[in-house]
Amino acid sequence: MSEEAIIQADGLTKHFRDFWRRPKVAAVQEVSFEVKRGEVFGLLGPNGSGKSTTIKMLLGLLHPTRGTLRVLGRDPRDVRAKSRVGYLPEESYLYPYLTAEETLEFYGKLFDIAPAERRTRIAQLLEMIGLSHARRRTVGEFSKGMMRRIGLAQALINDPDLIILDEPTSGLDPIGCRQMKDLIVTLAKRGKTILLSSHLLADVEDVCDRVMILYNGKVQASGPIQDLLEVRTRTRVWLPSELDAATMRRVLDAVRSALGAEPELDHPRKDLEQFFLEVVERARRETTEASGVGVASAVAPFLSATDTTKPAP
Amino acid sequence: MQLAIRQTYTLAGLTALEAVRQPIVILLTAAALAFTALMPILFTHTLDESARLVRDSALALHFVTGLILGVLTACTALRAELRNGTAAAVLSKPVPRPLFFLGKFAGLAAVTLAFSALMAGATILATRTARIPFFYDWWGSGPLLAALVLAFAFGGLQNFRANRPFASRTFGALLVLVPAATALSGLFDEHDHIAKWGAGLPLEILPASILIALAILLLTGFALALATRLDTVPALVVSSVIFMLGLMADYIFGRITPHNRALSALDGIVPNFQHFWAVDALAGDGIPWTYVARVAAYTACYLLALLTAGIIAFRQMELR
Repeated sequence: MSEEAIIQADGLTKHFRDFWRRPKVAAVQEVSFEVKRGEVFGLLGPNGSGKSTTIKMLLGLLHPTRGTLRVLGRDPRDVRAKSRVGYLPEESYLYPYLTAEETLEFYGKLFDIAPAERRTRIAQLLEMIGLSHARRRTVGEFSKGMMRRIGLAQALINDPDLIILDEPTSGLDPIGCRQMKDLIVTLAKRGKTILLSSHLLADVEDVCDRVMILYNGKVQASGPIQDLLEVRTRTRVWLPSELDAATMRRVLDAVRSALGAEPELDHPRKDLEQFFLEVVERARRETTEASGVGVASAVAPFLSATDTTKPAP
Repeated sequence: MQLAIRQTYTLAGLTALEAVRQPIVILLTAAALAFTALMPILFTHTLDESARLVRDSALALHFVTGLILGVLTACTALRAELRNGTAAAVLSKPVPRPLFFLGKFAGLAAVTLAFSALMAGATILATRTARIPFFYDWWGSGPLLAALVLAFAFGGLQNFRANRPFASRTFGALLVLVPAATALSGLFDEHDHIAKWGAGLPLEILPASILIALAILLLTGFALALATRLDTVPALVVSSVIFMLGLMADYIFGRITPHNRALSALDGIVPNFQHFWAVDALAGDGIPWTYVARVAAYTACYLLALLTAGIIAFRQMELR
C-alpha cells in the first residue's frame, strides 16, 4: 500500500445555520483523519452522527465551517479532483425516466469519456452488475436493489481513483451484499482507495482496513479494524474435528493443568450469510429461469489497476 | 471551453428528455392541441367572428398552458432534483455549478419552445378551419387531429413493441407530425384544390405566437431562478403572482401610481407581460417583425439578469 494520502482532513467542522444565519446544528466537530491510497476506510456511526455531512464535504457539496480538507491533493470543489472520484449516494439518486443505459451514458458524458470507450464501459458495467437484460428499462421501474446496482455502475464509469460509497449494501439482498463486498475488496486490490459509510457493522468488518467511529459529530474511536476488535485477554485454539474422545480428554487435561481453569468448548458455526449463499447457489444450479437481477459477472475489465505513479491532473 | 459546451449540452439534453417523459407534459400538450383543433366546432354561428374567437382563444390557451408547463417543469427540474438528491449526484461529478444551472435552463427552453412551435401550428390550422363563416375548412383541423392520433399510435406502438418510453416518443412524433400537418394543409385551398403553398393559412398569427413563446421562456427563467431558493409550491405561487402583476403592469404602474418611486422600481423588476400579448394588433395591420425583435431583446435582457441572479444564488448553495 502506498503512503500517499488521498484524503486529508484536519479539524473539519461543519455548523448548519438557521434562516437568520445563527448556528443551529454542529453536524461535524473537529474531525481529523487521513486515508491512504489503496485503503478501504470505514466511516461508522449512528444516524445523525455526521457521516453523510463528512461525505458531502468530501464531494464539495457542503462547505466546511472550519478546518481544512484535501481530496486527491486538491480542494474538494475543484473539478480536477472530482474527475477522479466515484460516488454512490446513500439513496439511489437517479433520474427515474431515463433507462439504465441512458443513465450510464449521461454520467459517462459528464466525464467526457470518448463515445467508443463509453459504450465499452457501459456494456462491461451492465454485465458486471447483472443488468444487461434490463438496459432499456427506465430506472423508475427498478427495484431498490437494481437501483443500487445502477448507482454503483455510475460511480465506477470514470474508473475513479477514490470511490466513496454511502451505505453500499443498503437495499441489496444477501447475494448482492456479498457481491458488493467482493467488489470492494477486488477494487482495493487493484489500488483504488475506498471510503465507505455503513450502519451494517458486519459489512464494514468484512472489508475495511481501518475505521473511524463518529458520534454526535465527533470522532469517538479510529484505527485498524484488527486492533480495535482484538480481545487480548482471551485466546482461541482451533482443533480438527476428527479428534477421538481419548485424545480430546488428554488435550483438555493438559490445558486445565497448565491454566488451572476450565476451558470453554463449542463447535464453530457458519454465519447466516454464508449458509444463505450456499442454499441460493444450490437452488440456482437447479433452476434455469430468473427475474430481476441477472447473474453478475466479474469486475468490469476497464476498472484498471491504479497506476500509483500517475501524476494528478 | 469545449468540455463546458459539451457538458451544458449533455445537461440540457437530459433536462429536456426528463421533462418530456413526465406524463404531465404530454398530457398538457395533447390536451391543448386537441382543444385547439376542436375549437372551431365550439365557435360556430358567431356572426363572422368565428375565426377571431378561435384565434384569440387558441393564443390564450397557448399562453396559459405554456406558462403552467414552463413553471412546473422549471420547479421539477431544479427544486425536485435538489430535494431528491439527483442534483447532488450530478454535482459530485466534475460539473461546475453555473453549467448545471445553465444546462437546466437550456433544456427547459428547448421543451417550452417545442411546445410553442406545436401550439403555433395548431393555432394556424384551427383558425383556418373557422375562417369562412358557416363552413368548416377541414384542411385545417383535420390534419392536426390526424397528427395527434398518429403520434399517440406511434408512441403506443413503440412502447408496446420496443419498450420505448411512451411520453417522449409521442412528444417526438408530434414534433414531426404537427409541422407536417401544417405543411400539408398549406398545399390545399378550402375547395380541396392544390394552391400556392400557404395561401389558405393565416400565417399572420405567427408573430403573436412567437411573442407568447418569449413570455413562456421568460417566466420559465423566472421560475428556475426562484427554484434555487424556494420549494416547488412557493415558487409556483410567486411565479403566478409575478405573472398576474406583469399582466396588470401597465395599469398598476402606469395609471394608478405613476409618480411613486417604490412602485417605479417595482415596475423595473416585474416583467411587463402586456408586451407579449399583441393579439389586438392582429385585427389591424398585423404585428410588425420589428416589434417582435424589440420584445425578443427585452426578453433576452431580462433572462440575462434572471440567469445571473440564479447562478449567483445556486453557486453559494449547500446541497444537504
